[in-house]
Amino acid sequence: MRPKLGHAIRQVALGGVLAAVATGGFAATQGTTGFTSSGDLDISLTVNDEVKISNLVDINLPPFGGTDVTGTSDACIYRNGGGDYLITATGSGAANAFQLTDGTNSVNYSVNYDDGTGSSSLASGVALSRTNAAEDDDDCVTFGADNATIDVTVAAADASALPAAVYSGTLTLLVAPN
Amino acid sequence: MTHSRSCEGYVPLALRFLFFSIVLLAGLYPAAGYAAVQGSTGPDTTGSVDLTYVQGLNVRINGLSDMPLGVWGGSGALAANDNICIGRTGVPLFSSAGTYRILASGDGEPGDPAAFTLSNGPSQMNYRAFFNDQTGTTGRQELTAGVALTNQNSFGLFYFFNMIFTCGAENANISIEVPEAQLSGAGGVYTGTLSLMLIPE
Repeated sequence: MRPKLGHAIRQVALGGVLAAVATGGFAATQGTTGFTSSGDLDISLTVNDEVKISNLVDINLPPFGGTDVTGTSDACIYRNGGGDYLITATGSGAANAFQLTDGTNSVNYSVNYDDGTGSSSLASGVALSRTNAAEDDDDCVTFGADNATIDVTVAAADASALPAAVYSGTLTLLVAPN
Repeated sequence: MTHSRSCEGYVPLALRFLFFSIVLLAGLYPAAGYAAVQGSTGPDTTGSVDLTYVQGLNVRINGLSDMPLGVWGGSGALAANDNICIGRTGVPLFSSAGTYRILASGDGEPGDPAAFTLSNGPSQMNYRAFFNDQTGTTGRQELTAGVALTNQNSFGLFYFFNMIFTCGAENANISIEVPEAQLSGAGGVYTGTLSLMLIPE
């Protein structure tokens, strides 16, 4: 009987240990009996790093008038908590080139990005580190104004050689926390 | 020589008297502190002791659980609540005659050491805390950090169960809410501790 009883006690003890391990996630502290009694509970939450680009508008380039053809879209760049971000632009041409096409002919364009601290040229697929993201306002309404500008330019030399047609393409902008 | 012997005999007598007096006083004085009555020798004997029991007000808060709020989905507030147990002595079982107060404090912030705050290290956010003297959140009252919420009440039977069992009868609720405006801070895991002190009234 003794060995069996000892075995049973060990099983109970093991069960207790396992139960204690299983409930080990509870860090809350319970109060004890007294004139006052105090307890604690822990609170936790996770806020992911989040970004958003918005307020983009399509760019309809004006007809070629003998000089570079340029167009602009403002943008709102939001990052929770503000701070730095990476922006990567890709075009809809071959190998993500910045190109417009009428289905037959194509023309390159260049992209410049300004975060409010100065304009920089973007290369397709190459991330550019920028700052000045809006915090607490993911659409720049309470921020008061958009906080970035995208400029696209078709060089006069390229535009002048194009056959008459409608040329179109898509510029994709990827924003990531930095 | 005779005078000298007489003098030697006088001094020890005085010392003996002094010693006897001290022993007598030492024997009598402590006896005054004993209220118990000792029995005397005889065919039967009886002794008695006086009993004293001082019952102060006692309380116990129990059944607290951590509140993991999860991952913020990018919009809306985050909230959680938990039913807890409040025990209190001095209340008849079928009465609600005993009130208590709750004093809550968080991790604090500069200028308010008890503020309800969560932190990921460099960044901080505030949350709201509420207390209800019944289960659920209906009728809850908002807590002010470091200020006791007074006149909370429950039923004597619940108090009793919560004094004799770990958490015998849930009879209160603690809830928190992190407003959406606070959640747009920098990313990370935010943690904090909410401390609750239960005080009888």
